[in-house]
Amino acid sequence: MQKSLNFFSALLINIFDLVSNTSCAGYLGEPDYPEELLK
Amino acid sequence: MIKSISTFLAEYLSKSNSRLTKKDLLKIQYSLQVILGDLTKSIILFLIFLFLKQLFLFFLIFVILNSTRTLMGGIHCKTFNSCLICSIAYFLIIVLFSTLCPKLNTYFYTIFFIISFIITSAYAPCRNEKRPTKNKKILKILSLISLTFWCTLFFTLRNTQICNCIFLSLLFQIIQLIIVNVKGVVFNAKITKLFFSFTN
Repeated sequence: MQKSLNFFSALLINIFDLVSNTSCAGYLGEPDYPEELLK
Repeated sequence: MIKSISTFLAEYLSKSNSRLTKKDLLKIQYSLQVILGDLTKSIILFLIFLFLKQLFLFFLIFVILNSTRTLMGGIHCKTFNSCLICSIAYFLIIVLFSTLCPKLNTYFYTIFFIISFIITSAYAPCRNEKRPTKNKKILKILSLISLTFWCTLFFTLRNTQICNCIFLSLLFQIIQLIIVNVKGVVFNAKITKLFFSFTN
């Protein structure tokens, strides 16, 4: 269970890196980007 | 709703893994919001098109949208609901017109694709108001590759409905590129005007 949760967390962080490298997340809207990550 | 589910899941993951930093949690929360938001919209759109018995066109528009918009960028809605309404309208307009419109002159399409290439090479990827756009050069090259692929497919296929679907999806994408850049120019013009009003 712990291993799968760690894997899921790592997967979501990788998805974030992938989405950050695109121009747009998908449809005609995307969630607000966290301000702390803009710094 | 989606934001609260994402926050709940991110907090659950942080409790189970103490090595995750605050930044990691924000990244996880953002990814979950993107996934859950897009999944919800996809399911709603899938059900609408299942009811309309136009699933093939739905998948085609979905593939074109994701292969062009993620690279070129486009207009963004401020809320989830307005995005959902715009996305449904976007899909329905393309399906409606691709079914009703006849195939036009080849010269018209050739000129359209030439203009699309010029606009894409000049403006893509357009700026995203919510976050900085990284790897602009790579995104521009990928946008041009994607456009070339759809252009080749358009001139290879004989089916009017599919061709119209490709044409309209790309037309909407190019219009968005123009709007975002013109808006930027107007915005910059206002700043320039304001700046020069304080100088000689």
